[in-house]
Amino acid sequence: MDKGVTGRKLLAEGKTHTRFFFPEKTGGMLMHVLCNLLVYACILLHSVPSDAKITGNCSDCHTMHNSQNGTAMATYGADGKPWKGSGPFKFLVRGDCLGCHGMGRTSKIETMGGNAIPQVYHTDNTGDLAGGNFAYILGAKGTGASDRKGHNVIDIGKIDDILTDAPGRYHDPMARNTELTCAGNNGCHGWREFNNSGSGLGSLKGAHHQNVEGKCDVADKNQNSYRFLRGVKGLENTGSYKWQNYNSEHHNEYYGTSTPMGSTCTDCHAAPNMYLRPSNSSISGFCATCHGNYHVLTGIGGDTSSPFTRHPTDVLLPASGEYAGYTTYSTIAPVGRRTVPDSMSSSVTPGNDVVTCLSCHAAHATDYAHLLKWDYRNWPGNGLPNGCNACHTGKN
Amino acid sequence: MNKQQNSKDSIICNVVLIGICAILIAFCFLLYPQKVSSGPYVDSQHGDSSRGVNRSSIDPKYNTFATGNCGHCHEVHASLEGSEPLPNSGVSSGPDPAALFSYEEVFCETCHDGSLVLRDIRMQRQKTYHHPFSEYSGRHTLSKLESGQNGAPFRGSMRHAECADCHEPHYIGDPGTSYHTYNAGNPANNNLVSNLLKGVWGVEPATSPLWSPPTVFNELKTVGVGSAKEYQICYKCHSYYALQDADGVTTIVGPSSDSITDQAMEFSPGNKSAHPVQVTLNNQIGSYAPRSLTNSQNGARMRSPWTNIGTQTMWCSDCHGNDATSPVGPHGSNKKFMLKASTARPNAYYWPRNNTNGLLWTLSDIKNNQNNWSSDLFCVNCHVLYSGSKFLNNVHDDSHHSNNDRWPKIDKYPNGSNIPDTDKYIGVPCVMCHVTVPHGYKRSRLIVYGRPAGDTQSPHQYKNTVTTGRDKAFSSSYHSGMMGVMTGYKKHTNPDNYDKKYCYVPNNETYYDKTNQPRWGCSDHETNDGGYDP
Repeated sequence: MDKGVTGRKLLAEGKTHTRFFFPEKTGGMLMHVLCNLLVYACILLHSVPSDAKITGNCSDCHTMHNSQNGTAMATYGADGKPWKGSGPFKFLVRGDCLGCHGMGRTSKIETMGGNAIPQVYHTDNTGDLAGGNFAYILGAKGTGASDRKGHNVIDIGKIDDILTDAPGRYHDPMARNTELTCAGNNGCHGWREFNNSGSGLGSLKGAHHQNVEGKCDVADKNQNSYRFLRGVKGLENTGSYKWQNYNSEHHNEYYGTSTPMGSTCTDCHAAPNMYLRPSNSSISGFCATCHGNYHVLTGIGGDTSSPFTRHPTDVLLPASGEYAGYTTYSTIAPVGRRTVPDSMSSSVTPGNDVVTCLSCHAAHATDYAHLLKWDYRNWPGNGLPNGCNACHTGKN
Repeated sequence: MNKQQNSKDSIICNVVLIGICAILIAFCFLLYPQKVSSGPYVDSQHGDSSRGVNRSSIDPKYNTFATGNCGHCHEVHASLEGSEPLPNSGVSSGPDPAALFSYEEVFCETCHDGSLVLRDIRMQRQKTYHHPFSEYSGRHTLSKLESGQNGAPFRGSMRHAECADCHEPHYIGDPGTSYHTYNAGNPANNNLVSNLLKGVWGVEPATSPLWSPPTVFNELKTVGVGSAKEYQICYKCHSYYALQDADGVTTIVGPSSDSITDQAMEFSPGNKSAHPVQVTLNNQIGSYAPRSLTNSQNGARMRSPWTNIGTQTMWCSDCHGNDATSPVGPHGSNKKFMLKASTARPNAYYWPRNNTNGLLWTLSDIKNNQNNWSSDLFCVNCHVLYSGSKFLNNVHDDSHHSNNDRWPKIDKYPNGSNIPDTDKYIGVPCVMCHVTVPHGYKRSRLIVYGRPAGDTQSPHQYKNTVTTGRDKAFSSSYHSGMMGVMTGYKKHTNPDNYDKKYCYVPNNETYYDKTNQPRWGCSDHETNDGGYDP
């Protein structure tokens, strides 16, 4: 199939998969009809044309029987890793989350069926995507394996031996180290209410094939939320350095607010079924749905003014003192914006922009303890820049 | 054709050269990534990568944190690997302001208690006289927040002095091997902040009035820079900026049982005399010539290194500090007013009373070498008062002042009974003529007037409250214990050539005390020569 050929076009031209895979010589009439129905269903589901959405051959991602010439088809994933299974998986996919997003090869962006697939487990030595790289946890990349380096989703096959619960959690129960996964009630992506086994694939319904890329300022569904983090707003980097915080000109734009969430039930939970989402739609509020005490007003000191008892997030970067010196966007310590911009900006405006959790931490994993974006623990002895100094310009 | 070929070759050559350069540059960056080796914090004592802060001996979780790392003091989330790091019990548990593991002096003393850091600051606040860095809780916020409020954070019910009010922990430097090395090359800059006070914000008076508190101040609060001179830090509390007292003598009683006074008023360059804390004596604009001390025919008047008379300045903490050799600084002392002795005279703490019999220092003590004046009198740390059996000005040398005359020169108590000699001092007590708080004064040479009554209140004029022994005549007579006697004084250009007219102490001048009884004076000083300091 050519890249960019949509299901609708196929329908219009009368071409379907069936002509290729079920020659009249070999197929029964019933099978023929069923397959056509299945194809039409796929086409209808994937009917909105856009570069953001997964398109192309259904078989690139799905397998109807998990069998082809006697061989399993649901075998996506990094060689030798536990997520490279043999299926079958729900929704007829050919791999769990890491199956497609954790191929473990030397590129941080893989291509499959004409679709670019961001990788969260890889050994690309030119860098990582903005979310980070689980390879650091397992030692496939970086300075050595460590549970301190990332969120140990159970999908990578190594649970966290240091933390059994989410640090800073506001209340129990939270996803434990034996439960944390990519998506769903025990994960981050998708609708965090459906309790699915495995990677919570079911919680991502609608995400891949209806993905709204770029400016996500509605965030009421999986597909129109920033990075499928349901309820989170933001601007996704879709340009030349897609998915990357590449430099001050090319990066994601995180959404933040000037006041952290409160700590009532509805700040994190919403109807129906009390699913998890940040009431203020900020990325920091999202983190707070697990690490609440680190973020909520009472956890940082009671108000949005110094002195804080914990490092504040969703608080304005002051326009005075040492903070006034932070005026050029740093991908090491990025700021959040209080409105979702239409485009990326290399400027920082103290007094208007805000500090977020992602100002210091990555989401998946980094080569540094606590998912920090720089080698904090070895500073100042390592003689390298300290991300703290992006804002605390007088403490270098 | 050849021309085109040559041009083509040239382009190719340039492209290849550029490519080679690019590769070389990239190679260089790989070999030598951007390094940050200097900055105000990493250059500080706390941020030093080998000698800086390190909490690993308190909590081994910090073994993997580099020395000098922010994490040794700041717990960004009050949590490390799922639990709050140590120390986390006792005075403070749970998150603390500024994301510190504890707060106020408890934080600093976790290390500065003589165990992790040799200099034991915690012990200093246990001494009798100390800055109140442990007396109050919940008054200090952050230093950066306490500026811009015209001193309100240091006033009234918020009055406090925490460690961070005098020290900036991010910029504090190495104390070095010598606390205050005299700046012989530029003695006018001798009052610049020490390494220990780097980066601390302070205030500079905007005016230089004559004996009244400066009321307008400029805040010196540039991040990483702060105050240039030591007194600017002290003035945050020890001036109108915090005190807001109109006459410079507050109702706040300090640890030494005297009223707290306004040091910016006392050291003001507009005064006629002052110790050179704020400006050199030659820049004491309120003083008339000779502004500085002039040497006597009997010898130099200042000890080394303080010999650049007129062109040198000094620290507040050259006089005030620890009564032990370490740690330095005015944290605490068992000596009143936290007066500090010198290395050469390790017992010279005492003023205005001696340590031998508790009496006021007198010129007779010096003349007759008694009460251990040469080792105990505070002033002799820097001032040479007596050399070759002579005082270094003829006023002190006068036999009436320094020998056997009894003082005060009155005969009867208010009740009419005779005053025996045993109720009087032998020789003039220093505080009869000189201001008790020798920072600075509205008259030359720190001379205090006793009359008219009320000219100078305590503590600048000494108020004698001891009602026994040789103090009895002063305290129980006619001035309610106030010991000043002069009505007029003017400075001589030559310390060896004073005559009696330079001091006016009229015997018959009208003075109304509360019982309307005769006043004291001296017949030798009854001539009003005029031109006295007002």
